[in-house]
Amino acid sequence: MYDFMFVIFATFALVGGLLMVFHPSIVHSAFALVASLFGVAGLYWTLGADFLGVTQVVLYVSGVTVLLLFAVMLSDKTLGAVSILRCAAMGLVIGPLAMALMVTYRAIDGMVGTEGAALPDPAPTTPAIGDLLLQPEGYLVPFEVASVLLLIVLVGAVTLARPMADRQVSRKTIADRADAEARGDEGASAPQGEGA
Amino acid sequence: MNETVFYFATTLGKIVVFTHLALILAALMVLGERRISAVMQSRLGPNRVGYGGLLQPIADALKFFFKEDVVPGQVEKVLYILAPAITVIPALLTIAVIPFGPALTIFGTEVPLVIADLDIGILFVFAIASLGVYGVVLAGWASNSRYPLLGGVRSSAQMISYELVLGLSVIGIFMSTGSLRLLDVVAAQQDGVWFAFSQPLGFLLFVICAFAETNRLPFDTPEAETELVAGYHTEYSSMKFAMFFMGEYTAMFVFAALISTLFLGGWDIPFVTAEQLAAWGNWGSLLGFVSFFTKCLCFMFFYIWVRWTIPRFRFDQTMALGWKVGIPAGVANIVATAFILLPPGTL
Repeated sequence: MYDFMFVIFATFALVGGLLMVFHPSIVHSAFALVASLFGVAGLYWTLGADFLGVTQVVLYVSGVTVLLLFAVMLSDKTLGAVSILRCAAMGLVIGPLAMALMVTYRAIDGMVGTEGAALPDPAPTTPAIGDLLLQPEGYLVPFEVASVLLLIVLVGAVTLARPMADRQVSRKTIADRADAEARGDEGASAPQGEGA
Repeated sequence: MNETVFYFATTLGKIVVFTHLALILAALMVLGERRISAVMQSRLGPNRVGYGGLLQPIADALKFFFKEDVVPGQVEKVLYILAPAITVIPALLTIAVIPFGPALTIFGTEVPLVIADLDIGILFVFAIASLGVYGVVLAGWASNSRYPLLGGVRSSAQMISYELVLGLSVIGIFMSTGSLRLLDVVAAQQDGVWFAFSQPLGFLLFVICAFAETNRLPFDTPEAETELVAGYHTEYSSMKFAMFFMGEYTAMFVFAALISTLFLGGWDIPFVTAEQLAAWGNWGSLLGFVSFFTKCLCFMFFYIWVRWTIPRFRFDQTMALGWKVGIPAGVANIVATAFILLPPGTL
């Protein structure tokens, strides 16, 4: 049963990932990313990490990616396709590197003498995660530091984006005001009909 | 009987019964919406097909099936066809973790009236329900036309904002229950008071979010007729349009069921303890089931009642309510709950 689920979710993750990289349209790529992330969430689930899998869906599949889509949909549609050759070249470099890293890790692991752990029975992981976070010897401080880092990044991004946005907004409001003045009375007196 | 076969048979039975219940209820709710709005506006509403118009949903469905399926030339074919399906599937998937009643006893084996008793039930609901936004966004974008795109963008902004409030509003419950399992939440309410009374702020926030997440009035700016024609489903016709309808009404049922489970005691009957209910055996289960459904129906009536009473919010008002009122109130609720739960003398 788990093998069957693994094949389904792995297919989702891989096909989604490939589509995301190779599809010429950026919005399609974003949707493919959704499928890929969903596949990864499913893989977590088959590994017995139910909490992690669900969190992946809540945060990445529906949170982050919707925001990403939001930005992409509003951006220029004629955005040129990313050069496939360049992607392929990057893949050729990064893929073997990642592979080498994994092999090295396995080799070191093997020398120490730990065998790959057997798949645990699917058991609830939520209490264990809670304990790890909130017990006195837990990982609360690193977790909080990471969130502060994210906050800093967020503030930085806003600051960097600000001057540009400010100019655009002020220009737009001026145009809006001019528009409103031109339309002025018409809009106010138009009948407010409602469909049945 | 073989245990595995029994398990598969009961689970399959539960899946068939519960999903069909939800779909039938969704169809009846469309009728209910039309009849109740008619009463509220001193009209009759559809009352010709069957007794009091009861067969109207079937007539509607037949009409949708026989209508021509127009696919405009400018759409992105694959995503355009995928969108209605993505709206319906998450709504139906979330039914899997909702407990419909106390466990039944069939051939001496206890069968809980929930399809999958997940340890992280409520997180699962949020995760899957939030996927529904993709149906709307996909429809808006794939239609490749102005009004649907605006509707899709509005909807995604609104759903994301209110998802945060939704998540914050229920944390109080899980702090007092100590579990994310929906069966535990119901059990906690059977022993104590309903969370609607002990978590009034969370209850209010959750109800508001239920309206916003299902795009119902007063939060229906994504499909505001007066501004956007029909919003994200402007370019859809025939059965594809009907599927958006189905998805929307099924999602409303899911939220009604969630509110009953989380805040109104699930299948709990006031002044009847869990032991008394269990003593009645399968009849007790049936009673619990009826109690649960009564709560759902009441809330679904409330949905319709509000829709025909309160006018639509402006989009900026919707956003301001979510970010400037909803989130601070949700956080305040968590902090207040934490203080109440502190064992006396720790501070």
